[in-house]
Amino acid sequence: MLSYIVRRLVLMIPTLLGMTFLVFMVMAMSPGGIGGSLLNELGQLDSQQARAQKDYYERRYGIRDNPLVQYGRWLHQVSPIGFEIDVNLDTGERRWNNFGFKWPDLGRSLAMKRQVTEIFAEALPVTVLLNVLTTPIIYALAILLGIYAARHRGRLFDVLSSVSLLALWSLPTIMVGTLLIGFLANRDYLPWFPPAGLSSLEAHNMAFLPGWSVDGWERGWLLDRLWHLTLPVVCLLYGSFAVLMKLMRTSVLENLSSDFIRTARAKGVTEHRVLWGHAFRNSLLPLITVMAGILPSLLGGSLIIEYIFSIPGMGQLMVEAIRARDREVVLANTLVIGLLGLLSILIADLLYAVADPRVSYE
Amino acid sequence: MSEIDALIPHPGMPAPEPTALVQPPPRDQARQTLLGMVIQRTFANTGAVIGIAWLGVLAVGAVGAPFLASSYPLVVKTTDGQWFFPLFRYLTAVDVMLPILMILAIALVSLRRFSARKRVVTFFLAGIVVATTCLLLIHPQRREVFSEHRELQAAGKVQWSISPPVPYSPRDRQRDLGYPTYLPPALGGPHWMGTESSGSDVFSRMIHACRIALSIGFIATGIAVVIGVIVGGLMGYFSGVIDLLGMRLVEIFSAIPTLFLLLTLVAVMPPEWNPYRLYAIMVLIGLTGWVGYARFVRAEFLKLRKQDFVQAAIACGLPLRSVLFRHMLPNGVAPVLVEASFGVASAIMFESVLSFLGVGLVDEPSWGQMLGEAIGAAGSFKWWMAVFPGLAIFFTVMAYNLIGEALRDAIDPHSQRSTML
Amino acid sequence: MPDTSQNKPLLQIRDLAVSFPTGGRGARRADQRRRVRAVNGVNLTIYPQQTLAVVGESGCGKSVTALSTLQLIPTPPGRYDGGSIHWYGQQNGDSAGVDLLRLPEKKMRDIRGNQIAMIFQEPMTSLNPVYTIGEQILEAVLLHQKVTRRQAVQIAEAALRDVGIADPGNRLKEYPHQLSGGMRQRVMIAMALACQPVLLLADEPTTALDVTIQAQILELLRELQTRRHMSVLLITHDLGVVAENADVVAVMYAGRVVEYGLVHDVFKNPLHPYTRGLFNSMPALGGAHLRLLAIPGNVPDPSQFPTGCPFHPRCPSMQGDPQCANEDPPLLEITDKHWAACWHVPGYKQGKRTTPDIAYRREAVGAPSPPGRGLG
Repeated sequence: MLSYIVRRLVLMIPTLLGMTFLVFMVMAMSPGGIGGSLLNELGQLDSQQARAQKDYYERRYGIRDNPLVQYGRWLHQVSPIGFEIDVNLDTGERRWNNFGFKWPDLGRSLAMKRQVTEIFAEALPVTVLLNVLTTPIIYALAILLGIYAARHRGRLFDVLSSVSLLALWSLPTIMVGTLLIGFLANRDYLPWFPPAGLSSLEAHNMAFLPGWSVDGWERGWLLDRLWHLTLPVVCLLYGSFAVLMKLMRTSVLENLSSDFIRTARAKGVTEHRVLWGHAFRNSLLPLITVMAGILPSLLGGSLIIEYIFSIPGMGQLMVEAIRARDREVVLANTLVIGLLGLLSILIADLLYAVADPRVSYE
Repeated sequence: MSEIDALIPHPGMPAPEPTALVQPPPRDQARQTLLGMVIQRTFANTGAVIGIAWLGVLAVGAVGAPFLASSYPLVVKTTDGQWFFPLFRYLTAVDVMLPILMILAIALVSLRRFSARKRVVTFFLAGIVVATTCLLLIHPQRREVFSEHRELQAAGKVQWSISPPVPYSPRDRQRDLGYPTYLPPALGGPHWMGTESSGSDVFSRMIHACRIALSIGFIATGIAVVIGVIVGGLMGYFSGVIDLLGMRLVEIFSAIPTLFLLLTLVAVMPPEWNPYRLYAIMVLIGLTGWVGYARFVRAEFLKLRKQDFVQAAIACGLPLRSVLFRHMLPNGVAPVLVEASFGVASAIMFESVLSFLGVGLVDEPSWGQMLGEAIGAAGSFKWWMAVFPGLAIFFTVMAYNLIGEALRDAIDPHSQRSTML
Repeated sequence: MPDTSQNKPLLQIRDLAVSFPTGGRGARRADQRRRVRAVNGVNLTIYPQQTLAVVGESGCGKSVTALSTLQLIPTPPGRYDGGSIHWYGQQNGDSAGVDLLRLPEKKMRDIRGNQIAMIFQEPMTSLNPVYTIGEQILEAVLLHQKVTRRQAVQIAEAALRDVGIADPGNRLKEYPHQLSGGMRQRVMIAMALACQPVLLLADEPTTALDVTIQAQILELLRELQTRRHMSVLLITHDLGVVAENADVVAVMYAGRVVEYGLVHDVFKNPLHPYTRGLFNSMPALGGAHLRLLAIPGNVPDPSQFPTGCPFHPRCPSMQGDPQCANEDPPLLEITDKHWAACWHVPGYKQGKRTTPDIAYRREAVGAPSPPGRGLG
């Protein structure tokens, strides 16, 4: 198992290289090169200072070089093994010394004028929180309701759910998000939820748990955070939930009519145990398989949701970076999101091996 | 042993006539092709029929958009007895081409005497002829002067005129004329679905956006299917190194969320491309969406390759092209059709998300772009800008999904497994 | 040694009728669809230590009959339309017997796997792929016997040893996919027999297996049957299997029994034209036929059973007799202990209306004989 994991991790490297290469080249091809619009803006200002700034950037990032060279340089920058480089900012000369381990450097955002690592340290936890919160809810709801629908096959709940699941899956997130924020977080309609952000302004003054303070009841930091997360999470989960519940229902039905269930019944096993002991575990297998697809689609979905609900996560960061053609942020974002995606595929594969004894990675 | 042999009797019955009682299957059923059967079963599905009906409505909107919603009257008679046909001055080649092709298509579908192949060929040949003629002959007036007719009317020079049902063009921004922006919808009023930020009519924009939604769906999916089938087919057929490399490529594309990739690609698009932005976005959605088909076709080809009829074709010394495209592809293509119909839905969704985020279409009317303007800067919420375009996206996506589900059931009634992802 | 109790029946199936809805697309609700009888008026009787073979083509209702015995027909869509299945094998000495069709689910569970066990046609799919075979056998043992887990493991090991699996201790820890088809069927048998059932329902236990494995499994079943004084309801379409194993044969066609009798009687003197057709379609050693004779036509689709005798469209004896097309012949006792349902059987008009019931057991049950030879 361990050797399999190591092999998979090694195989990720070419994939990550390919991914970043793809994005890098696309950006390199665009007019204004890598670093894009920011340099263009500076160029248009055309003041002495702006030109100096532009020259600095060009030397700092070597933007006039061949894109392949630039990509190699960027790779070296993010790799954990390499040289220590001294850049002479006046001449653009580089000196390479001390080959060995180093901290991967994700670069510096041109638009935000901050280290990318620093920006990610703020944005990544937000996106991860959103997804880590949503995934278990999706799976729990989908599994329970899927089993319920399968057991009441053909009854009202089942018929209604199978029609509405397709509708739910077809509902565009951008519409649901806009309608939720428009109707439920708006002074003109129902101001039940906060329209933006992850916590209220005064949240950092609150106690962690809700309770009574001198000013009366206070919702506390945790509740405040949950209150802010409700609409985004609802928005993020319904689509994947529809897919998974439908899958669970068919999977349970398929398994309940299988031969081994008949065997179990012929042994005298109770219906309860037939369902939870025999059909349940087998029915989960397809859900684990699609997990590899669910996680990247959740990340993509969180991009839209972070944009709509103004949540400062990776998605919103990406939209902003792309608009500003902030090359370091876009590339680092691709790297991190790609890594997350590949890891989630690996986790799904490993989970599958745990759940299904027929699959082994020895 | 002897016991058993002794037990087996030979009563010496006359050999019965085998054919007398076996009824041959009815002729019609035997002659029905797989495709015909699939179409028939699909049309038996209520959901699919509803989906197709909605797409029909959209198609009418897409084809007839310039005649249904335009600021220019169809006919104007001035008080001094002059006749004008302002609408026709602004019709583009595509505007003329689409209705002709649609009428042609309807005519060919209702002509039952010709074979399906003949009808398809006729349609394509006629299509090429119509398209070239239109492109060569029609040069519309470039600069749109919306106020022309209104000024004429204000001056009292119009005796009578016939306007389209929605008398506003999608880009007729009346804000400059002091017209109220963000007018809420009013049935029976001038703007049934209200107006948007620049005073343009929402209903008119909705109608004109049909064309974009439909064409993006079809063309992007077409590109994705072609790439996917080729890459997947090669991977599945050759396996080995090609498969390994191909799978890395597939992995690259499936590990990055499509939306991320698409955003990057769209954002770095050079501004010179802006006149062709719509087409560029179609291509980009196609370029990022092929992975699913490739995986699918690869798996199918891996299965098919081991089957006897493919082995036989190879053993006969048929060229690779023939083995791949004549023997393997038709057997693996039916499920791709199902996937493609879900693919159209997701292509439409992607376009609307891009436009919603403000990196998609610039000047074209798009449902996603309108939805993106529903929440104003100050947090004010224009519900009509969210509800109408949102529902349009929803219905269209739902329609394709319904058709996809029906197709899947029609192709393989036993498979209940969902491949909605 | 046979004692007096052996001449009381163990299981009596009387006029069993089971129906299913046809899969009409238009009809939404289950009760609006047309129902078809998969089994229609079946009568069978099994005595202790007897092997009753039920023979017929696929779709004739053999499996439905066996599944009904354990109430394993999913209801809905299936429905028990009538009849009774009386069970006299209650271990508490209750000689009155119970009607298995009307037994509440809870009591039924005590019978399933405990007094009546069943093995199935497909050993490849009949075991749960995600549990070890040990877990699956233990489940049956722990359900029905009041033993500790350690004792249960010993019982399971003994059961595996009984079916000829070497090294049972380690085999218990294996998953079904690690075993071959024949081994899996042995595991199925071990699982079924772990609780010492009185009756074993074997639903085509060898159909999915290789010919050589088939012979081994059948011999194993025979041996276990003698050793454990068990009755077997053997469902098969293989007449060779019947010849070697059965005491009594019931031939089924289109959901009803068309011939019933001692294995010798049926094989020496098949009465029903369908039975004769089955024998004719068997390759015989040294037979004169160069080609196999087939019964013309197919088993009718249950939703389109013909009127009258269900076999009449394919029947060579019919010869245009309108009675065959219009009247369904009942199962009558033609000669002593030999029943048939066909208007054209000699002596049918004088046949007695009795319920099929034969307490015969072969003398040499389990006598090894080279199986399959000449039977294909």
